[in-house]
Amino acid sequence: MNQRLSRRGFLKLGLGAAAGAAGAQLFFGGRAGMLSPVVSAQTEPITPRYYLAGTDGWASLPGVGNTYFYPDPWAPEGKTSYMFGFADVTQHLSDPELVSPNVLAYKEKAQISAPIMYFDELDPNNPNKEAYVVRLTNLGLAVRPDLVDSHTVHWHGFRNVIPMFDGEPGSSVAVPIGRVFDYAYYPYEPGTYMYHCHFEDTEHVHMGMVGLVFVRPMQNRGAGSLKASRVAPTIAGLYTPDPTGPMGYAYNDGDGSTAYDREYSMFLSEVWNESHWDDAHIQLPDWTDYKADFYLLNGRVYPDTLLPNYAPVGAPTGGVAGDLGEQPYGSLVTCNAGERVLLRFANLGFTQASMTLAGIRMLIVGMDAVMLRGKTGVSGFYETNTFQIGAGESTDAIFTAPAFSGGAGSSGQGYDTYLLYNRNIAGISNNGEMGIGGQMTEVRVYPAGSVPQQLTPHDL
Amino acid sequence: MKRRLLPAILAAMALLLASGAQRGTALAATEPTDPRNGVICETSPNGHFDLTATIGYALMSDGNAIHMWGYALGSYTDASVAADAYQYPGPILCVNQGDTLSITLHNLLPEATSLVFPGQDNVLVNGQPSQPQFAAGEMTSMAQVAGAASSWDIPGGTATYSFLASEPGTYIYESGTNAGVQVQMGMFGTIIVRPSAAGFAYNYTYNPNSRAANEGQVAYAYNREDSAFNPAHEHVEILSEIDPFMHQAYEADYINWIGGAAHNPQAFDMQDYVARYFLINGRSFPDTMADNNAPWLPNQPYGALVHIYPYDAATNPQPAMVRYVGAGTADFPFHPHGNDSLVIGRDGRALTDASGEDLSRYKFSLPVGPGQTWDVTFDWKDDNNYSASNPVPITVPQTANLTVGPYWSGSSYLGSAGNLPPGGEGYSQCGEYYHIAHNHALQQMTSWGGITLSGQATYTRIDPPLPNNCP
Repeated sequence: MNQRLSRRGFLKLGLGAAAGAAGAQLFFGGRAGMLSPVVSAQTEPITPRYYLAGTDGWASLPGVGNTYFYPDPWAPEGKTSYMFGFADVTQHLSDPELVSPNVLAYKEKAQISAPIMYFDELDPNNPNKEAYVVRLTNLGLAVRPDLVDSHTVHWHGFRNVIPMFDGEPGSSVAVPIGRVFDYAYYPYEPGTYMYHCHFEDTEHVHMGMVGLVFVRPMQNRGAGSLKASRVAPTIAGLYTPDPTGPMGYAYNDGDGSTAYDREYSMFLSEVWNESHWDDAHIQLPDWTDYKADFYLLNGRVYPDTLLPNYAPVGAPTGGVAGDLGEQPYGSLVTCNAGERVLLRFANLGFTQASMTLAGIRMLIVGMDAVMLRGKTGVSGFYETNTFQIGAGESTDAIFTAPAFSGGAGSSGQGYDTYLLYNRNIAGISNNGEMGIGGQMTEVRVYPAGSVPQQLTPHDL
Repeated sequence: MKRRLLPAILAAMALLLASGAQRGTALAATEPTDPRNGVICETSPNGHFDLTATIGYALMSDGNAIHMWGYALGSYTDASVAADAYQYPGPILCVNQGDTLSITLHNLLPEATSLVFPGQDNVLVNGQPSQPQFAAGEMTSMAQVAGAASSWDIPGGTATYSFLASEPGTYIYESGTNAGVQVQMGMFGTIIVRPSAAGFAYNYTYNPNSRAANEGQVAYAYNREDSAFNPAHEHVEILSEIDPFMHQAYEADYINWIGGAAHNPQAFDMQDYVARYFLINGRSFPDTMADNNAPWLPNQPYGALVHIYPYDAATNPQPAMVRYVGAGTADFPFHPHGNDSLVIGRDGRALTDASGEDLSRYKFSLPVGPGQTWDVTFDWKDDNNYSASNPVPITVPQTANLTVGPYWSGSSYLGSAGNLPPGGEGYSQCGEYYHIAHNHALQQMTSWGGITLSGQATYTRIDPPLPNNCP
């Protein structure tokens, strides 16, 4: 009843006609973006920190091409699998148009996995704090122009959020093709999170619209005898980096127990070939048949996980070199003996993973962006070499790199090698292939002082 | 062959029709006293309950009707009547710590059945210790049984199970006989044991006629101050799954059996088991959001909508209590949006260290495993107190430039409504917020045949603070 009245009111005010006209403009093109906003909350809009563009694309998942659904015969050379994802168009924020030709050029260029985002915790008591804004646009799907799905950004695990910024489309709003929406966040809880599109979530998550996001704690500003982080804050002037401080702290621990020298993203996702083929070829899978064929670590499968960030060429499929152009993140961990390394794990696959670091104990300091510590201060930290991480969970693990073995190291290349992998055996296969693949990478420990200080998380 | 089958099928249809005809009247009696949302506790002055093991039917949101086994509360001698009182999942039985819980199980199924109570000590069956049963050296049951029925109207045996409810918390009861089949067919339920130590006993005064009148009370999950919750917002979310082919096989077997054929306890090859429906409280989305005792779900009485008000230190300090029960075959990583859940107990014990120090912790994904129970408290507040006078720090696009969800009020602000596009569903009633809560193994948020958003999902409904004009 209430709703009918409000609709009538809507028409009375003539806004219906305005909306109709606005809708019509969709078809005239050229006016992509926000049309006459209802509310301009700020005289000076907040400049977004990140700008994401939802679209489709292709990934290289090297394996034996022996199934009907893999590799996709429509895939461009060097690619195997049809994906949806977020492209990072942050560099085009200052273009004159909201959705500029530069941004539109990312259609069919979705990044796998999605851009790693990170923020510094805000002080809830600071009246002048400014929200972090993540801008989202929707470029449509080049391979599926018939599929006019909207997109959203759901920051998975963000606490006490209002529906509008939660990105669950049933309870809030989503972004149609050619439109723009700004998500505003005031993060007060440090830790490792993940984000994904929640529109048609089973499909869009599985198709690749998934990524890691983390919040660095206020303690990075320094607290008492705890030194400030040696790396710059994401907000200019938030704190003065201390060159003798740690890279950062995982949490506001109060005692430095979560300090670390390096940090890496270990983002887990999966690919079920049939559903990816189906989406490209205008078919629908029965999701209850789900079974992953590839297990991805930061958007790549082993051995491509060993290649550095932004490496252009990966392992071959059917004799053709892999094109990693849209899979920018490596997973190789390099560190010096004695350093503390934070591994930020998050799992947006549908299967529980069992992550093993063979030969080095990990100290589990946080799960689901919460430090493992009881309300009265009892520590729940524990050491392990294998922990389970289910769908939608995150784990913060810190290991201390062991002493270097000497000489040319266990690898004969000047470093000691330790393997990090999913002990759920299917998780280290590429498309069921014998041997190893999937969610596996190496931790390479060098003699102290060999590897330069890490300047950015995940060496971005 | 045809002539022998026909009466069997007719009998099965008559049974279904009979149960259908009785559904309306049975409901009218229960509805007014049950809350619309939240736990429906079955209680008994002496801690005794009768459960009848029977067949029944459960309706999936795609329209499929699934043949089930499970429990009807009460004592029945005729499956055509018991099937009407059948409920999936089994009744939630609530007792106080220190009570002796006893259940007399009456069997109307074509095979023997029993009850087991993982998490309870010193369970007795007919006064004897509950023990695995053996015949010729092979285990036949995990506990003493109630024998099989001879036909749908010739009841089988009974057995009485009892134990001292010694520790507060959330527990499961389930079949211990042919358990791989019977549990999967629906033979499980929930037991809530209320704490009884001084100051922590359960004293909730429930007013069926006013939501507001039920507010402001306190209950405890454990004998601990930090397990306090608002008893008007207590919920049980039982996570389960169904393979329709398995249930179809046992339906065909049952029809044969009531026609006079022998029952086959292995009517389905469990090697072929693949779950296709994923349920909360026996319902699939969107039925999970419907009220308790929704009339179109006569045998699935439990809704799964968590219905709360925003946290407020002065007026609404106590969180909701949500008891998750894992009744499927895999971990269900359950993810309620909006805020973390504070895990305060697992499997009937508060999360503490050996000296009683609190080890509860916030989590955003709850991997509820088979046979596990997770006790969490949940509340929500707007960290930024957004309102029309403290607006969101972004430019809100016109509705025409957005895709609008059915539970969106049209406004960013709690308690406000705004314009919605013509033709939308517009389910929001009073500017309330909704946050989805779902299994994050997202294939389990779908159901058989590729229907998305029809599995283990529900919403948390957050009404504006009282007083409000919400219905």
